[in-house]
Amino acid sequence: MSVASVAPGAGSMRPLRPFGLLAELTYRCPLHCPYCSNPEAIPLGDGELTTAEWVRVLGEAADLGVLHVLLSGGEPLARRDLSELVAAARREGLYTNLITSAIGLTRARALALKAAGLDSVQISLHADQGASADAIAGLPAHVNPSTINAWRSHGPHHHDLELPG
Amino acid sequence: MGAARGRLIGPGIRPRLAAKARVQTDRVSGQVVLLDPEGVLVLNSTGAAIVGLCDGRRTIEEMVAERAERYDAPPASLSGDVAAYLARLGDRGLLEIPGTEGAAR
Repeated sequence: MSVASVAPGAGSMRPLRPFGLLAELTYRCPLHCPYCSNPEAIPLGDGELTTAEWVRVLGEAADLGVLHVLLSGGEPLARRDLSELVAAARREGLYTNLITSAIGLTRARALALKAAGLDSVQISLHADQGASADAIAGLPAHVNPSTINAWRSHGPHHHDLELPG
Repeated sequence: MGAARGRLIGPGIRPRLAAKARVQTDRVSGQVVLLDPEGVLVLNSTGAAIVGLCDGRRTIEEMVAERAERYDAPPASLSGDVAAYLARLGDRGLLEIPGTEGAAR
């Protein structure tokens, strides 16, 4: 990611500090994309940090100078405490960016995340055709464009369509 | 979407910071930073002042006038720099123009 692009005056930001935190909240994921490095051998949910541990880590990251947190996984929506973690990140002044397949992102969930302070959402699409997207993900995974439009009106502010290279 | 691209920057428009962007004081350096999905911009004091004027109510002309008064300088001497700075922000998708939602679709 490009968390270090910087405007004039950046020189005075030294000493160097981390700007971004990639928070892989879980290995759980409904998708089975062949290119993904997400380990499948780990038992579901085993070894994940607890809510309290993530809240502590987010605070420690902010103290180190982190300004940006990418909430990823696995599929971060698999965490039931995601809104809580978003709220904790915002309390620490972190910019929150959710990286998701959008599976499980109901309108109610989107509104709850927005209320918690979520700044941005990046939705991963796997192909521009539903059948191809489903074949890559290993299950019906394509997102209906009308769903995205509904989020655009009511959900968090921004949607990037992140296409695998 | 009403995003202000460079070609839309003119003296009469009233830009505001895009909803996806946030300005805050960095707790480590004390500097003003602008956060957006793409990353972090560290603003110098002039940049922070200009961004702070992007409230969707002031026209760019009024923003220039405000800066000119602050520096006791003729507006014409600042307008080019302010416009160029806003164009850079606009090109990065950091500005919106209220009332133009949907106009660019």
